[in-house]
Amino acid sequence: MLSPDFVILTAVAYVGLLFLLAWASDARARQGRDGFLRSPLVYTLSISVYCTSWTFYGAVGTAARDGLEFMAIYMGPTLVFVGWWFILRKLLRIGHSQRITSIADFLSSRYGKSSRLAVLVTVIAVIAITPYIALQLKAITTSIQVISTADGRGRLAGLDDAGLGLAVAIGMAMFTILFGTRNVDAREQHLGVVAAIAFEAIVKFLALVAVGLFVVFGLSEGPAQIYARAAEAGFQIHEQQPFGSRWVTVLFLSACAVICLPRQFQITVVENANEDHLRTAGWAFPAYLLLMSLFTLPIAFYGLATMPAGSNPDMFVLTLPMAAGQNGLALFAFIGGFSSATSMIIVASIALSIMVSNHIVLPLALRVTDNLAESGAQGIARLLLTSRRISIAVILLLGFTYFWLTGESGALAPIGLISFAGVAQFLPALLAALYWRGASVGGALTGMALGFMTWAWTLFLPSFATSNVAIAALLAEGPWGIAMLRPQALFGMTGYDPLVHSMFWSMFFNTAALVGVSLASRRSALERVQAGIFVDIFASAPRGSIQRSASAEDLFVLAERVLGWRRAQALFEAADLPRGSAGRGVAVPSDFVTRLERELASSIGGASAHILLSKVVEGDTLSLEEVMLIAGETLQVISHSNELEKKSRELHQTAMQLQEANSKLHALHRQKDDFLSQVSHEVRTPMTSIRSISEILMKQRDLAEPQRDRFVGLIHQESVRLTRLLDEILDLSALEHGGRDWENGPIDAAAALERALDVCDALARQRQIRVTRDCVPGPVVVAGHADRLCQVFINIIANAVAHNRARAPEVLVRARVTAGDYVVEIADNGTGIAREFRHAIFDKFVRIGPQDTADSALPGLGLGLNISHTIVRKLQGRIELVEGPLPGACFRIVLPLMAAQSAVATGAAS
Amino acid sequence: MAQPERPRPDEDHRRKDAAFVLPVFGVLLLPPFVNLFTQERLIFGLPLEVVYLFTVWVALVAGALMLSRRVAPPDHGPD
Repeated sequence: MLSPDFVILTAVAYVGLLFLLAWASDARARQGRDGFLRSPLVYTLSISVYCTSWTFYGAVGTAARDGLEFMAIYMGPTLVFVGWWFILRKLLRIGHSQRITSIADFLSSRYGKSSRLAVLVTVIAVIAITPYIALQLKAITTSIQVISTADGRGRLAGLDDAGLGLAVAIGMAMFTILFGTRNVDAREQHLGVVAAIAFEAIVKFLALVAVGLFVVFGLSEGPAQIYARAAEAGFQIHEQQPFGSRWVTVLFLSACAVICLPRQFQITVVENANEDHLRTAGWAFPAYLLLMSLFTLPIAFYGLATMPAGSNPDMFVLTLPMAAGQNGLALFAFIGGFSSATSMIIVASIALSIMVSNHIVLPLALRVTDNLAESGAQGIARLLLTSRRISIAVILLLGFTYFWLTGESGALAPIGLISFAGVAQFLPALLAALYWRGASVGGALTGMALGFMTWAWTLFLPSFATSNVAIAALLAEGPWGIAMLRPQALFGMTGYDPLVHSMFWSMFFNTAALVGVSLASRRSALERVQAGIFVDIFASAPRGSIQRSASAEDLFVLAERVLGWRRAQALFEAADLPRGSAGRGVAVPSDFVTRLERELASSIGGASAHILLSKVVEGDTLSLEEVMLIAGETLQVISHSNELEKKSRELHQTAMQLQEANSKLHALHRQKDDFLSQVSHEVRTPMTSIRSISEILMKQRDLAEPQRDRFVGLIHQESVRLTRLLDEILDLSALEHGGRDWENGPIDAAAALERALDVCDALARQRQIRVTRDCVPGPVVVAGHADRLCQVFINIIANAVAHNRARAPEVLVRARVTAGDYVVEIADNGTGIAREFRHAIFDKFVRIGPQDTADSALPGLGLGLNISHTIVRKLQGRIELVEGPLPGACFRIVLPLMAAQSAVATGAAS
Repeated sequence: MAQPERPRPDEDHRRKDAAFVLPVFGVLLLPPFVNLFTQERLIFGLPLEVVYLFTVWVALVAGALMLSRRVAPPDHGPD
């Protein structure tokens, strides 16, 4: 057998080896050769800090007592890691981008950097982990006792269980303080520790597998024989009861624990170097758990079958090799168990001490003194390290106290499950942090507090029942005899396993309060910002839109106090900012403040960094509220102005239409006015002459007969002209408003042209104008009105004749049939029409050139061309002014042929 | 050596979906399903339920191993 001295010496030597390893790793990392230390393999191995002495010793005990339940404790984490894409990937991404230092920091950052939440999480974590640490102390104490019992107690003779436990706790505390808080710069990535943990993972794995192989193949011939022998010895090798609520609860709890346990969070999220390592850990960690569990059942059944009745199944891993006389293997197994316990204690107490110092001690110190940053060199760094060392000691002391109070009657596994159930209270808030934007700090606080209280009442408190009569009585009768409040039968719920009962009620209250209070409360601006960053971490890069400013000098002093001179220097140098007194009054850009806050947060946690910075930086929280308010208002204004813009666009369009209509109306009005004034002018001229002549006739009765006749003739002439004018106006108005029935029938256009030429012949003769005809012979059938068409021809030919001032006046009339059209051109060799009048030639009352109404037989009224134009349009044709064969004007009248028209009509119909 | 061919986007998406589905196979570990195997029978001298649970476990690990090789790294995959 082994002497206690030797065992203890071995343990100390092993611890020394760990120290060496951590020191060497840190040295390597400082030289920049940390590639291997940041590899997926080391990451995976360090995650297996999940396997503590509970796994190493306790799993066999569970298997011996409760059958397959131990598997649930490893299958929960298996599911979480196999599904790493879901939760872990998001946790890691947020952890990296927000420089998260612990689960308390994570939750408080998400819920608006709330200090209160960080404190609550820290308190819950410390209390919930206490049983777990007690478990490790108990395992180490028991294993030391077991391995050295046969040789008498030697040096340990003077120590009882509690004394040995205290000694172990003190040793562990010193070890962890020396081990975990060497780093003066207080940064939360501990490469040396991670390397040591990975090494311990290998040691415990090899030790357990060695014992397993020895038991299965050394002591017996394969697992089947072990089962057969156990069955022979009268042990049940099958599950006694179907898998039920307890199985499901343990599965759920272990899945929660692998995320929510502070040490798992520390290793998985905070110490992670590269998100991509999850890819490996996603299968390698479950595989590690699988291999660790492979030999549990054979060891348990072999132990049950061969060991004397009443021996502790938790220690089979140790006692079986000892019983077989394999001292070396037993020592190796002891070291394996020792290493699984130490790795848990190291990481858990480091993680908890970080939480305590960052979220409780530092905020308290900041509250007590306003100028902590100026209180001597490295004030904050020293405060942090001191508080961490003290909290490690306190945490281990608490663990010991629990161990001492609960006695050592209980098995290992139930103690661990109490811790699991405690940290599982973080899960609802954590999941809400990742996926529910609406979760508020009030909801998280209430839910966690209620869940924690329920857990404490229904699970934590009853664990003291074996050693405390008062608590045992409370369990049996309830407080003040109220049976409804009995811790293990809350509200009369009986018949369930205490763990299931506790989990049901705590999760029920926790989740209900989280959801209810969140829905009922308003979130602050900072909460909304943080919720957006957390929930949408994959959607887009977080924007630092909050403007903050501070002087470089103040910031440097602050950074130096927290991060140390070297890192502060590097940080400021990288940003090209002046330091020391040179930085006085130099404004620092907002994004640098954000970066500095993250750096600070990586040392002291988000909430504390926030408090510290807000003392130096102007316009942080307050202006953030304002900014959010402004942003909210701006959003409203934007939506309003969008609406306004739309309205105004519509209005603008309407206005444009109105304007158009208005201008049209104006034009029409002007046209009407013009028309009226022109008509009255036209009417006035003959009227004036008629009036003046008739006045002469009335006053001078003795006028000579010929003169009198001339006057009467003039009156007649003028009244004829007047009548003609009025006729034409009537005609025009009839044409324009379609008042007169208009029917297009088949007519002979050539005949109409002949007729017009005949009518004008006399006039042409009178003015000695040569009219040349060049016309196709009829009939040319067009759709129209013969008289009207004739009127158009007469009008234009008469114009050509009447206004021709050439010395050898000449009019050329050409008519021809082109493809589908009858084209008539009437050209003259007169002065033509000036360019500026061409566009207005068909308007009403347009007259060109000197008017000489008196001596023209057909004085122009300015309506002729307008009437012609209107008529031709009614005949589906067109009239236009073109360049003609003669120097003067040339009017071209184009009329569609009847045959072509009907062809078009049928073409369109078919 | 030839570079491995970049998986097509839809193929990539399918694998990502598989990454989501894998943990759903955890229902195989839950009652009532798992109780189908508590029949007091021995397979190669081992209890059936033990063999079953370890088989599911191995299958989960193997599935995760295969997926981790095939799902595009987060740097390249669309998030």
